[in-house]
Amino acid sequence: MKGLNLALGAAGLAAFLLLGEAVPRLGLVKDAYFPPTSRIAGALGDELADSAFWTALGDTLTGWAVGLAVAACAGVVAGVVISVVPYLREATASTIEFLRPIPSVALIPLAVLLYGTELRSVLLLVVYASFWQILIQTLYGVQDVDPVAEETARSYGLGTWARIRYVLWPTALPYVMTGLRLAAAVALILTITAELVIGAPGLGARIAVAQTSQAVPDMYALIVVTGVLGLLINVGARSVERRALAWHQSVRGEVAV
Amino acid sequence: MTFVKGQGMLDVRGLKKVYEGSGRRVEAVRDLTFTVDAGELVCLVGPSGCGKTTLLKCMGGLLTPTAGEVLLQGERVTGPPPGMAFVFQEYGRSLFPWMRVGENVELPLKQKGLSRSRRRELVADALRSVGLADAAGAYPWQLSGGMQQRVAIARALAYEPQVLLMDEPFAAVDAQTRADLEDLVRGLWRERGITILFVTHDIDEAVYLGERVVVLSASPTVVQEQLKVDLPDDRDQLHTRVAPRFAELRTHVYEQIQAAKRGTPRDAPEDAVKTDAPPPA
Repeated sequence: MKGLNLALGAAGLAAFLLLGEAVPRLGLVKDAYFPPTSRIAGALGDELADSAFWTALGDTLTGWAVGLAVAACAGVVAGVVISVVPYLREATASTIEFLRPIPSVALIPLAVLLYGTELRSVLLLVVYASFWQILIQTLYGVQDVDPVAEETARSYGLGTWARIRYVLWPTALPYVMTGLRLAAAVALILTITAELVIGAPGLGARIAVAQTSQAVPDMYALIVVTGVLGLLINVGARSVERRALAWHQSVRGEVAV
Repeated sequence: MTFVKGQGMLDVRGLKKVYEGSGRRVEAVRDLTFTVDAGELVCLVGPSGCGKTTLLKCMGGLLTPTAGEVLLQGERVTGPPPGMAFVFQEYGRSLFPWMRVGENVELPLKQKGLSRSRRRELVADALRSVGLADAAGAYPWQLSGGMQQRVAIARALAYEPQVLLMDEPFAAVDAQTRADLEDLVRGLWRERGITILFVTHDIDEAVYLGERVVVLSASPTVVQEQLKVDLPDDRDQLHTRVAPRFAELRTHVYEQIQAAKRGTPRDAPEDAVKTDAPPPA
């Protein structure tokens, strides 16, 4: 069954690539703007051989990873503190609901004013976008603490810190993991966007350069790379989730007793 | 006040709990007074919804009573006392699914600050006592309901409490498992000499297990009657349950509960206090 699915998936992808080859070659679209698959593959090969590409990839991954890490730490800590301190949740709810929907992209002018085309500019946008994902999930997760588990912990004399560590955190973890997975995807989008629009070094900036220099196949090749990055990030996040939540119902499935 | 010390392990005096919230005022427990002596196994029965859980949570320091007090060895209970362990009805939620059985049992001991070797010893001993010596590495959700409740009991035992509070611990397991667990609790009680307060809605269970049965009235709750169970110490599911004395006792408790439901408490609290403990000076 798994083998069949894999084969079907490969066949679908192959058909898609063939279509990409055939459509421009048949003259259905202008191949100047939509080069056939083989030309894109060739450009991708050239990119992979170019050390500048790897530097750009490194810049992009640095922006993504640092931004995500900062957002994750800040989001989790803020989420737990807001939930644990009495009245803080009520006091912050409206502010969070106001700040959260502001699109990160709207902060681009501010980022440029503050940091120009530095990495910090990218980080500002990435952190802003991913922070809310993680904060909101942490807030939900902390609310999910089972009253019986909480009472058990209290009856055995677990103090506030021990209850956070042994009860609240494991309860919130599945939510935090979901937040992290969503944030990882958003962080990549914002990293590329920031590089593309602001011109901070990275894959986004390289896409912009390819576009302005009419290197259309290279542009597509770089877009393919960003797509692959997104895919890998999602796969990675899911495997981290599975490892961290082996005990959770969503991962362990139903156990026959 | 002085005579109280050393006499009662647990003293509940004039306990009252009123829940207030969203314009509703619910008097769960009106006025409860009773004593549990050291090493006693006392069962609390009452009609459903009579505030048994509220009472137990007040005793365990999980709830603050509106009036009255609970004394553990003469000390007023203001929070969960270290000498007390709680076994909840909802074992599936009371055990932490993210920890293995051994870790679940060990966690309270870590909080007590015991050494690693001592913790291991206690965990192994407690799991052996409940017949789960080789389940330490499993996750709670890999075990059956009865086994999970055994783990919860092991966790309580490892904590080495003087008093064990059990809140309808076997209400959610099947009848056969329940019989086994009842024998387990009696066995552990005789072996370890812990004071046990066992809350149940099952009259047979109360009579079978207890040295004494405290019958509670319907809400608002007072003590309807206290009854000494004069069955032999050696009890077993087969013979004890068909003994004539067992039938008499269970009939008596049943009648009391029916009377409680109808709301005709016979001034039992005063009587009972006179027979079991002198009234507070």
